[in-house]
Amino acid sequence: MFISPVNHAVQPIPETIAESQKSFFGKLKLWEIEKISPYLYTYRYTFYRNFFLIGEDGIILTDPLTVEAANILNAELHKITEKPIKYVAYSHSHWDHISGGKIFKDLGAEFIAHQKCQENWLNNPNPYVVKPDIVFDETHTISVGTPSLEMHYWGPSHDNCRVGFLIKPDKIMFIADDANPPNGWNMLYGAGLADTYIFNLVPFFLKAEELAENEGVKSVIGSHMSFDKNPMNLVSGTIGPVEIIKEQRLFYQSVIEAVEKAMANGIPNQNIPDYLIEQKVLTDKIIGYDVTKMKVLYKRITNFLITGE
Amino acid sequence: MEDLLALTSKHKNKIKDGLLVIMTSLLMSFYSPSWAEVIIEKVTEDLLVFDHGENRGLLIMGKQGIAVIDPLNQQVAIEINRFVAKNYNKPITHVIYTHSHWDRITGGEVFKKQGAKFIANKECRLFLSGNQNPDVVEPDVYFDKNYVIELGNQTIELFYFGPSHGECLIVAEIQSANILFIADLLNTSGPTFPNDPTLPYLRPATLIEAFNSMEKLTRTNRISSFITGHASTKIIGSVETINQQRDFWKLVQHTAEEAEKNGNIDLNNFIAMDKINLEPFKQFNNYDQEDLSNILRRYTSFLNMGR
Repeated sequence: MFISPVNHAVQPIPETIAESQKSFFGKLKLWEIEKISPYLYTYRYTFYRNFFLIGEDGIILTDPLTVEAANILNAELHKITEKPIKYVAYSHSHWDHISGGKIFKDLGAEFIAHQKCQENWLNNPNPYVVKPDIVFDETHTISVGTPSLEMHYWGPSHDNCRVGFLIKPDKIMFIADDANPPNGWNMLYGAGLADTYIFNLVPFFLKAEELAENEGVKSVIGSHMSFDKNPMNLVSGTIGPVEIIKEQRLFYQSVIEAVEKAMANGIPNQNIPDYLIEQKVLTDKIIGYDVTKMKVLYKRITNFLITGE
Repeated sequence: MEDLLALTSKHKNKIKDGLLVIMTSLLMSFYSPSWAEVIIEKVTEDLLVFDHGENRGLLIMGKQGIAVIDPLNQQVAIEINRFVAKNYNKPITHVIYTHSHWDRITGGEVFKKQGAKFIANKECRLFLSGNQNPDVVEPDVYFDKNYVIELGNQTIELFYFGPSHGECLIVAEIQSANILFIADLLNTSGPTFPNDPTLPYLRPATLIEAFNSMEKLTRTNRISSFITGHASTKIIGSVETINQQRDFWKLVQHTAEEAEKNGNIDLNNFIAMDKINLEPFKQFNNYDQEDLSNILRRYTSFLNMGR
C-alpha cells in the first residue's frame, strides 16, 4: 500500500495519539506522542522532544532522552506497532538528550552517532548512555522501508558533534537545541552558550538552509518548547515552517554583528553588554528579550571576538 | 627554587626597551589597552617574561636559538623582536602557542619571516586552521601529547593533558629553570575565583584530570614553581596552587551535584544560593556570591549535558 507523505501546502497539524495523565507545566502533560504523517511521530517528554519513524521494515528512533522517557516510549511503541526497533540515531552528545537507550539496545537496535560524539563519551562516560555501534564523519543515512533518516554533519556548533536530521519522504528537518518552533528569534535558554563553537554557528546554519533549499524542506520539528514573550507561557512548538532555521541563524548573526559594531565604535570590551542593552539593540527583534540573559550573551560573544573561541 | 621565588618577587631585573616606544605607548593607552607599554623582566639569565596590559609571555634564551611562548600581539612581537636583536646574537627559532586564543597569539608574522617554527597542540587546529584570523600565524607543528624543543643548553618540553581552558591548552616545562608556564587556569597569588564567571572556555568534563596530570608532572620532575600568562606583581607562584585550584573546582562540582540531588535548581538551571553553604568558597581569592551563582549554573549545565 502506498501512503503519500505530508502535504506541504500548509504545515502539518500534529494529532495527539497518546499522552500522560500527569500534568507537568501549565497546560502541558508530562509527555505526549503526536502523529505528524503516516510515517512520522514526535514524542515530547517534559521540555524535550524527539521523533520516530515507522516504516515497512521497522522503527527508527532518535534521542532516547532519559531512562524514564525511554521506558514510557517503549511501552507506547508497542501499542502503535509490532515492528522491530532497528535504529536509534543520536542528534549530539549531550546526556540530557541521549540517556536511557539501553531498553532499545536490549531489543536489538543499532545506535548511530557522529564520531566526535563517541570521543566525548570516552572522555566522560555515562552509564546511562549507550555507546554507538556505528559512527560516521560527514553524512549517514538509515532506512526502514519508505521512510529514511539522513544525518548531516556541518562541523562543530552546539557541542562538537551535533548533526542535522533530514526526515524523508516527509522532507522535515530537526536540529537539536536550536530552531525551535514557532520562531527562531526566541530568547535562548542557555545564554552563556556553554559547549558552543560560536565560530561555526553561522556557517552551520547556512549549510542547513542550503540542504533545506535543495531538498524542498518546508518544516522543522523542535527539540524544545519555547517560552514566547512570557516566561510562564510555554509554547509546545512541535512543528513549524523551515524558515525558523534561517531565523535562528539570523539571531546568532545579529548578536555577533551587534558586538562587532560596538567594538568597531570603540566601546571598551567590558562595557559592551551594558552599552548594547542601553541602546536597546535587538530589543524588538528577540522574542522574550531578557536583560539578564542578554548581558551574559553579549559578554560571551565579546569574549568570542577577542579569543576566537 | 626558593631562591628564584625570592629574587623574582622583588622584580630586580626589570628592563624597558627604548624610551621612544614607551612614550608612544603611554600617550595612546587611554582607551586602548592594545597600546599599553611592553615590559620585559628577567626571571633568570636565560628566562625572561614580557608583559603587555593583562597578558604575559615568555622568552627562553638558548645557545642555539630563542623560543617565544605566546607572541600576544603584533605590537609586542615587534618590540620583542627588536629587543632580542639588540641584546642577543641569536635567532628566534621557535614560537609556542599555549592555546588557541587570539588575544595571546596574534602578531607572530615578524618571527615567521625569520624562519621560526610555530608549535601548538593538535586540538588547536580546529580554531587556527583555514586562516580564521589573518593576524595569527598558523602552526607548522601540531603535536599530540608531548613535544620537546632543544635550544642547545635549554630544553623545553610541552605537555597536553586534555581539554581544560579551551580545547588545547598546554603546559610548558622550562627544564633549566625547573619551572612551568601555564597560561591560564592558575594565578600566582593562589587559588582564586575565575575572572569570567560564565566560564566560556572551561571544559569541566576533563578539567580535574588535567589538574591531576599537572600535579603529577610537578611531583615526577620535582618542579616547585610556575609562571602564568597573566601579568601580575608576583611573577612566580608555588605549584601548591595547582592542588588548591583543583580543590576549588571540585568544591564547585560537588556543590552543584548536591544541589541537583536536593532539588535546589530552578527552571533556568540556577541554584538556590540561600540553600548552599557559602563558607568554604570564601577562602578563595576574589570571592563573589553573584559570580558563584553563574559558576554553579555552568556546572549544573555540565551535569545535565556531560560537557
